[in-house]
Amino acid sequence: MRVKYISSVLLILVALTTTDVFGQATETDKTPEAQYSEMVAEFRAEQLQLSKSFRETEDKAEQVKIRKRMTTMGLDYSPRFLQVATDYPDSKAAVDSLVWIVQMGNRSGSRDTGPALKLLAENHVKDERLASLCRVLQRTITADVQAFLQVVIDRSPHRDARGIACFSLAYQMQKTAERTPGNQAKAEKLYQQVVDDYADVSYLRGNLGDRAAGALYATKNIGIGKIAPEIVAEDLDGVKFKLSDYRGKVVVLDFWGDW
Amino acid sequence: MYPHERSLVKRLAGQPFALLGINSDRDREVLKKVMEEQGITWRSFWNGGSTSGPISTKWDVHSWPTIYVLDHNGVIRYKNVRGERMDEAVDALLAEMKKSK
Repeated sequence: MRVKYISSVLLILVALTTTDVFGQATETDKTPEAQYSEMVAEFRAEQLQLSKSFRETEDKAEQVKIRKRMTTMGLDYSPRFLQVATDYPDSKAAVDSLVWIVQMGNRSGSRDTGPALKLLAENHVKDERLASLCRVLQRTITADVQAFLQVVIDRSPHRDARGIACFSLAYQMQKTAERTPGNQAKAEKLYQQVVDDYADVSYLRGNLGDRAAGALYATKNIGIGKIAPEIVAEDLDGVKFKLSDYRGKVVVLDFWGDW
Repeated sequence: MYPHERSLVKRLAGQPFALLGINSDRDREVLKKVMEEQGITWRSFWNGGSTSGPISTKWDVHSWPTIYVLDHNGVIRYKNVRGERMDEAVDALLAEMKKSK
């Protein structure tokens, strides 16, 4: 379990670093891009060192310590990325740095996430890289994220970014509908907007239209207090049966798989 | 998951209760072997061999496992209750059902 956890953390962190080529700038006169690349390289080197130490030690306490460092080390780096973004607000590295902070803060709760989102919304809303950021932020339910998604919906010139922001915001409204009356209606409206305007935008292994249509159906029909929709399908032996065959019984429905 | 669900099914044998799966594994034959080894006796709908099969797509399920508990009228009453909370939910619905008769 632990090895699995570490490797998934690593995968995500490596994914954060792979989009950029390492710059080899001289010590004097470093471009913001070079500074960004060096910080990413430094971060990655520390990660690799940590995962090596993790594999090599048998000491449980030491492993706990390393794991903690791996999940929180981004906090030490994000102020430096924020510095680059504020020193060179118009550079490509500014966007890269801000995106880095947000994705990292997503995992470790960095307090630089809010300011980074504000800067992205104020200065870089036209950047096409915001599309994938809006996808990553889907499940980070905060007011800062919602404000950011709304700015992207309103002002991004990129259709895929607007569509994905719309879908992520719909999801957040759906998930907070129990706590905040009114969000259910907002969720339905946003999902409908995705179905109407962004259906063909590709999303993960499918497209936004299918995902939003599914979510819209579910948010209207599958919830506590609603009659469960009928299921008619084969069992594992190929024999067809129905959920309604079990009417009159209390039923636990378990979406499962052996993995 | 399996040991808890096994004991729930065993405890409620003979009661108006059913545990039903919606299974998203790829290979039914491999799965049946696992089920035999693990003592999984409850029936499952086949989601077509994929986590993006027709049932999970319609139900908008994108994380596993996802649990729904339905009362005897087919109304969804609980979502994602695990362990003891699953037992409590089922017991409460069984009691409610007896009372309503």
